Amino acid sequence: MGQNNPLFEPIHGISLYDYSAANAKIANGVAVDIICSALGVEVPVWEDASQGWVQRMQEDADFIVISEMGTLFGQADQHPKLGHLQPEAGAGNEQNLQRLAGDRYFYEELNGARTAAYEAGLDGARWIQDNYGISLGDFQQVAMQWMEQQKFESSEETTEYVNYMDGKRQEYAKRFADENGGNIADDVEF
Amino acid sequence: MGLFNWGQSQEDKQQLATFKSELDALENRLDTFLAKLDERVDVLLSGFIEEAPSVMAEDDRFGQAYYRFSSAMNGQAGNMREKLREVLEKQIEPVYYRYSDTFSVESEAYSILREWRHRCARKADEWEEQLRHRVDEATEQVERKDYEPVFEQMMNTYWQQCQSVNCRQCGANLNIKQVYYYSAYVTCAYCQTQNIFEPGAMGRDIEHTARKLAEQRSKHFMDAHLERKNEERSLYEQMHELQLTLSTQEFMTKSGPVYEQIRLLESKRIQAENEAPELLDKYYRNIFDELTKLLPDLEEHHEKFFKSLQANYQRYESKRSTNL
Repeated sequence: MGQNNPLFEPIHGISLYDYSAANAKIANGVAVDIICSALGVEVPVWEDASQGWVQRMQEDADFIVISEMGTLFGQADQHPKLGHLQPEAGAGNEQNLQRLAGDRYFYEELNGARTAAYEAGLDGARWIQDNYGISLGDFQQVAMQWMEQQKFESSEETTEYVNYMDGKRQEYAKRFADENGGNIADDVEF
Repeated sequence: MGLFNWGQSQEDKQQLATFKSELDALENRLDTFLAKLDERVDVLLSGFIEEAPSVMAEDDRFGQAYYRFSSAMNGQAGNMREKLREVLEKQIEPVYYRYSDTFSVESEAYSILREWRHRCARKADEWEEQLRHRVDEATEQVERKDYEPVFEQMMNTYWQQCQSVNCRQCGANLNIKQVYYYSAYVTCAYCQTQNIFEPGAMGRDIEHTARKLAEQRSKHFMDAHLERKNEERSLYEQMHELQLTLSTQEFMTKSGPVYEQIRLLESKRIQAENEAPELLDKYYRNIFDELTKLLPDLEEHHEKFFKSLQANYQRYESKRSTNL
């Protein structure tokens, strides 16, 4: 991170790492007041800082802030003040989460399933939560880790994963369609 | 089969006729298939247009139900698109490859085959383009909303709500004169107590609604920009068609009536190509000017945001090289 870049200056003492990790936790269901208390600020300070970080990202033509935020979002669990926070409902399915972070094909499968679910009119994020116990926030955190790794992949590897994901998307699309009574043009034959 | 000299004998003529009839039959089936898909698109989009208002009426402030509803409509459109691609891949292309390996590229049969394949692909492309256009139109129709009264109502409610906010310590009116988009500290003018003012969900939507309204007020620039872009592409395609008709002599000497016609089209094309990015710039400039009129306290941010956006869309601007 460019330490001398004014775009990375903390806002009201809230650094980009605080902001990114907090958002990962909020997406996971941790309440804003718990985040604020862990950071040692009141809600108006957090909200003003949040707004400030959004504005920084909008004003940054080179996308360096948003790119760094993506990296830090994936490191939320290592954040010294926020890393340990869990939603009241407790942690999700730890086994599936670990598999998501370690098995690229599993990650791509759930990506494909999520897209297929949305295309079938379902809430894709909710579908993953219900079927695998992985929250949206956890999923996005792992997604950021894979995106980091993707920077070092060959184009053949990337194509392999994209094709795998699309294959799974089609598989799940068929499954969801069957569950919903089929697609509108299933009986149209050539 | 006399593949290299069809048309020379009665038997060859018969084979050519059989071959043509096979292609015609497949093309007819493709036409019928596309017509049947069109009927399903009618059903899909009319249902979407009919049901969307009630989905929107009962939705939350983030529009999640409508998002799922429109995703499902897009998913069905995508499914039909995939179905068509599968037909091309499994019914049209194998026939092309089965024959193309056996024909001489100079033969009449090969020319018929190539044109048939090209026609089928074009029909599929045009159908997909039409589908995309219809889906966009239906979505626009459903999502169309006049943000003028919405924003006005929102601001009236906000100011009304502010009138009744009192100090938690002394009870004096906090006399809020500024738009707060999220919770903020407001100091009481009488006892100096720091209060936390929470503008609620509506206050949090003010900036987003202002943006929608600013976009609405600037839409004519975007329409003109897209019109110029389409015009440029259409002129380029016309030029390309004409270029294919040029004789070698005209092509080499860059002269003749057709060449003059191409030059005329090129000058119009360049004009459209130059005007399109200017109109895009006007569109974004106007959005941020309107935003500043609506939310003057954010002027400094609007300027920085505009410059950032401008740097990005200008980065991807490119011009064709027609090499006339």
